[in-house]
Amino acid sequence: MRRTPRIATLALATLLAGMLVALGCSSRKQVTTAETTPPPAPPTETETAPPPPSAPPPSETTTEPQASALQDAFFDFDAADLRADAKSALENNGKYLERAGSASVVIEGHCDERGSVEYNLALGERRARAAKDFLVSYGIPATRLTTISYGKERPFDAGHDESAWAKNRRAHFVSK
Amino acid sequence: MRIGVKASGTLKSPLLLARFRAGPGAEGDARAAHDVVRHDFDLSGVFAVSDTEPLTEKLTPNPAAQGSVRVEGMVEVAGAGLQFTGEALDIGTAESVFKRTYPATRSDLRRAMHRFNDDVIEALTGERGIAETRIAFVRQSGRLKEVWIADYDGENARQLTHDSTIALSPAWAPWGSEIAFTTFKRGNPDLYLFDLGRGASYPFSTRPGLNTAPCYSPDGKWIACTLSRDGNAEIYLVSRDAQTARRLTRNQRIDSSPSFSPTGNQIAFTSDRSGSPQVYVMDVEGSNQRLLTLEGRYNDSPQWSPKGDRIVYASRHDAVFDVIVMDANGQNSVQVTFQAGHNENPRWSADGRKIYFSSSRSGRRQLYLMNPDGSDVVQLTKGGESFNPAAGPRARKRTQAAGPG
Amino acid sequence: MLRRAALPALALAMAMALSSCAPGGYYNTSQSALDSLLTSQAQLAKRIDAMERKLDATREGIAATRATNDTRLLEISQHLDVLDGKIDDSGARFKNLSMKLDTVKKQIADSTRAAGARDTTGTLDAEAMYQAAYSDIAAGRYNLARESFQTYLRLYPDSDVADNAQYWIGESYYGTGDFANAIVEFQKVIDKYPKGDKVPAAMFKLGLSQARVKQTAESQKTYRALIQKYPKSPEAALAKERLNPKS
Repeated sequence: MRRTPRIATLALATLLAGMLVALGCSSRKQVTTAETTPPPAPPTETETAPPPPSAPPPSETTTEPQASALQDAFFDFDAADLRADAKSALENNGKYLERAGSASVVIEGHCDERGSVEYNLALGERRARAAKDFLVSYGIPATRLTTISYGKERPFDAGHDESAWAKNRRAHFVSK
Repeated sequence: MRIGVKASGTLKSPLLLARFRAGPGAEGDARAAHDVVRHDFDLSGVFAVSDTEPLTEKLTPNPAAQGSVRVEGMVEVAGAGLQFTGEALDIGTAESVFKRTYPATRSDLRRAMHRFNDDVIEALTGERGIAETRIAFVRQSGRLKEVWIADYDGENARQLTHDSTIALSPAWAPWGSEIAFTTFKRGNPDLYLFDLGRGASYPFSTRPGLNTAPCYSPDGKWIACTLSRDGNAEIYLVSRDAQTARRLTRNQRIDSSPSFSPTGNQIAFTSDRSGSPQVYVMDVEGSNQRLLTLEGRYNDSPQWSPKGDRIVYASRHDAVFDVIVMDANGQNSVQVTFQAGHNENPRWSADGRKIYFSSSRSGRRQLYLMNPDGSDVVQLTKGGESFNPAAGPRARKRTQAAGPG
Repeated sequence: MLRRAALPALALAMAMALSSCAPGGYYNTSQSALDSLLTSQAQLAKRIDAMERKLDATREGIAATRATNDTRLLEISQHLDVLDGKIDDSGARFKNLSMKLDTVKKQIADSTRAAGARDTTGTLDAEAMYQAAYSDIAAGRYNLARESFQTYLRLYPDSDVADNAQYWIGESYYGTGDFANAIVEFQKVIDKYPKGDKVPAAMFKLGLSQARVKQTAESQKTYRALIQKYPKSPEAALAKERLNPKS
């Protein structure tokens, strides 16, 4: 009989402690989640981080908190070298793709209407490759990036002046 | 580049073309036949044609008119169809140079007249004309680009591919019943072969990256083309059975648009290895690559003439493209188009007497035909937009066992 | 007894709770202490987040720098290729100009020698002769080309395109399938014009010719010598493929 209350006390204490553990932990969790809501804990290579807010593959319309949607990289006439503005566009795309989990994209190489069909297909290929090489160096796995050249066959602007041509000389990103 | 200088290559023979006589019930056919032949002789680049009335009595020799030709013709109803009898006479000697009767139907009278034209040209020059040949080209409607085929003069055009995507760069097999072309129908620029006999195409090279710019070797065993499977556009020889691909160029820049010499031992091509596109030439094994175009900053789309003596290409100068003809050694380049707009995609006719090209001189790109010195420009297509002409060979016979397989 | 026995158990439980979850432990004893702990922990979490963001930005910065640098390296490498291309092209342009210069020199010599009278040998000038012979190669008139190039070499042995002429004599045999004579003539390019720019092409064609007459060992030896002497030439790459054909 004497033992019962002792056991009861022990059980009570344990229960209390357990409740405290649960309470304490849950309260911490609440704090953390409340703090986390703005930007998520950034994913690292090893961590299996929770997927970014919009888990589905990025589309051109989705807006990310930090990296904006995939941007086109533009080129000079008869050139596949990356201009400064092309590099910053690709840097943005690199950030975006890092946060986009394992989403794959197609990089389309395009040219303006000047010159032969065949030469421009090759030039578009170089532009798409230049964009891809940049992103691979940035850290995006090459397996997520495929390239295709449309040469001058799929212009964005059907005009026949420099303003149209400048828009058509691009590496264009399309999510798979 | 001798801008403005017209090559004095073509000396045309005078040709008197008589109004064709007609048998009973064939008056309309005689007029139609005459118009076809008149057009053929005009386009041939060989004759300076003038019209005359048919002979009423035997021709008498006229030594002063040595080298002049007179052509007479007659269309008659024969059985259920027609027959055409044509004759070419040397005005100088009054002798018949060529005479033949061609059976025909009303629907293929045009074809019979093309044959007569080619026969006369062969009889007089030793070298057959091109009126029986066909051309392939790309026609754009909306966003779609399909390969089309037509008679040498743009008549009887019909759509060949129905891929509903982008089809480009048709090239004829030397035996004339097959056309290699690039199509995006599987989403990638792949090379397909269109069998004109079966009316169907099948894949030839679908390697990752570019599969473009096909050109058959003269013996038909190889197709030189551009592949980018190793990173960027390089020229390869792919055997027509598609088993072996031999890489010919290697650098980090563009190599494209190969064109075989008629011997099959050399290949002219475009490369921007020195910063901008220029025409180069190499031995067929890929060795001995050397610059050919010594003038101009932007030279592309070379094609070797059927006799091997000249190379035609497109050059960008003063923000426009024009067609240039030069000797095969890179010397004596002469600009042969001068009209407004861009003049591109030059391709020799099978006899080397003509050059097809596309031009935007009238707005949208259309096909044109001219003499290699730039004279006698004739527009061949109208409506929509047409480019990438490719002239078919003359002989339709298959010369070697290089059939589909 | 009872309290004494219960206390250690309670202490143990408290210790367990504390060790696993510190704020909970304080909850019992002091609400304010817990609050301050929670606050400081939230601040800590904020700081960690900030640091992670910084780290992230740094990592992105490093990635961007790496990508930019790699791109620059690639472009430099491509521009070096362009320079190589320009040098090769200059060679072709130089030979062309040199040939024209020879022609002009000869014309001057002719005119000074015989006051306007043209050279009486009746031969074409050097450039025209060379160009005609070259055109014959392109058009497949190999015998004609060979004779012309041989005459050219007799008349103008010191021409800047003498090595080219010798190469085309080799090619004129190669083109007609006479590989035994092609071997002799391509070898002459290597022996007589060792500093000329036709040597790699001549060595490659020599190797091909040797292979065509079943001199396999000699052919491979030629390819290896070519790869060793001109490792950066396009022909060296072609020779490697001939040595190790892909299955």
